[in-house]
Amino acid sequence: MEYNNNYILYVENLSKHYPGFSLDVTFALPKGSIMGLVGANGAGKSTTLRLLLGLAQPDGGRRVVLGQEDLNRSPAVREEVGVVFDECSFPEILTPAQLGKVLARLHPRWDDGEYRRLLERLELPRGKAVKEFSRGMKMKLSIAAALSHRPRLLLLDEPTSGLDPIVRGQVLDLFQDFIQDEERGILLSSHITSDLERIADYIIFMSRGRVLLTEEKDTLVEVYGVIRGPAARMGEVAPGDALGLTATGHGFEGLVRDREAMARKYPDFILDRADLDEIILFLTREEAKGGK
Amino acid sequence: MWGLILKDLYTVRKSLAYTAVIVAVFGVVYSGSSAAFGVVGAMASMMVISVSSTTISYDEFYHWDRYAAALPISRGRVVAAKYLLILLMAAAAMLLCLAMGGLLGWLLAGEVQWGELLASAGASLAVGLLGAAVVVPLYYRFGVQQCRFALVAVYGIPALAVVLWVRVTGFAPTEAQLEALLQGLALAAPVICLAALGISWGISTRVYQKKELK
Repeated sequence: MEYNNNYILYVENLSKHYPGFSLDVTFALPKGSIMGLVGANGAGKSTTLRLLLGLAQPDGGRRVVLGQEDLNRSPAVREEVGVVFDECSFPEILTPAQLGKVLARLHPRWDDGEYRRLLERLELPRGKAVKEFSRGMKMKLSIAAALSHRPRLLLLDEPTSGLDPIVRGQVLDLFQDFIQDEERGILLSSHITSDLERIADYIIFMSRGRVLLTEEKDTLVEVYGVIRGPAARMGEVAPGDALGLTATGHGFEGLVRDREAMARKYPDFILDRADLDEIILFLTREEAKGGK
Repeated sequence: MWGLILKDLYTVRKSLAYTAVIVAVFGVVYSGSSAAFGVVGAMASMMVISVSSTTISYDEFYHWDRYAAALPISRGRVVAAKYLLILLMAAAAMLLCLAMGGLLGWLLAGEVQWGELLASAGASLAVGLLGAAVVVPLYYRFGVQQCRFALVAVYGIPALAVVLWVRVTGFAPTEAQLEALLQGLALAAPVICLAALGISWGISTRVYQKKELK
């Protein structure tokens, strides 16, 4: 994979080493798309976002954000990056109205009208202190702030956690609206795979600081499958045909990469579509087997 | 940068208002005493120092620092805004001292000794600014929680050193010597304060630019 202008975000062998943890990731986000970062806690999702934002310095590799190699050297480009962290980062003594006045002085492209519209759309009171907000309200405020300076790239760490299903739907609609002009992009980490199934164009699965899988979501859902059969016949599945192959109380199950081909090869076994949760589960099992 | 200062002012405005009320109360309580200027000045000095510890502490607690690092301003400007806030607080504290001192002097004596008042308030603020110059880089390097005793050390160690020095050397200045010393210090104080703050700013900026934010 090489960098080209069609990528709004390009990461190549971006590495960071801490005692007991090493990160080394490569991926690219095309313009006009949403990429979901999934993986267990400690997989390296937040570290990847921190490196992209320049909150920590990488030990090696490239990170090209909106055409800039190093975001730290170009604060002006950061104006085009909207950020939502996993926890609200605003002093909780502030009200949304006061926060708007603060951010208007920090963002050259701040759109106060848009901020007000978003506060209204997300049903956030302008005059109430953030400390009185629920976790979901704080997250909505972070999203409103991130969208109000008209960014081209959104980097979001668990943006829908703590939101009820109705609000999550509203927020996901906002994200889908955001990329409609095909010039913008979103990279978001999430544990809520149903959200990613709904809005993501690409899925990156991370484990132990590595990218185990990068795939178009439609491919994942259409092509991948789960093979199931009686435990006694598990040995009939050829090595390499199924990932995370495991005997369960009811038989065996594993993940296959080409559902239709496997259905032809193993006509006696059941082959179901795999949802994102299942794909993650089987990949994690396979990784655990490999790590042993 | 003004957005950062506005954010800090919103954050500390209640505690500033309480401090101003306490300064006023102490001023009235001590109004019959010659210590009134000193007490008011000391309180104002604390106001200058506490604004740095309070705002940096809030920044850490609410993870504002990582958000600020993602804003379209350099980390150097984030630090510069904190020092500018300290200077603004010092100016506000100076005005508060002069207003309180002037009011007390006018009410109690019918006249205001502006020279004495300026020297008294200036000395207190110099102490506050020097303290801030020492602790702010420590706050950025180690965090406010880890440095909560630093402030005690900043004032305690020099005070102890002076007391010990006086005891050991038996230094006993005459009134004229003391006045000359104080005059000298009063003239040098602005230069010393600005130099200390400048060095402190440079150190804080270097520390903050290298800091990993989580």
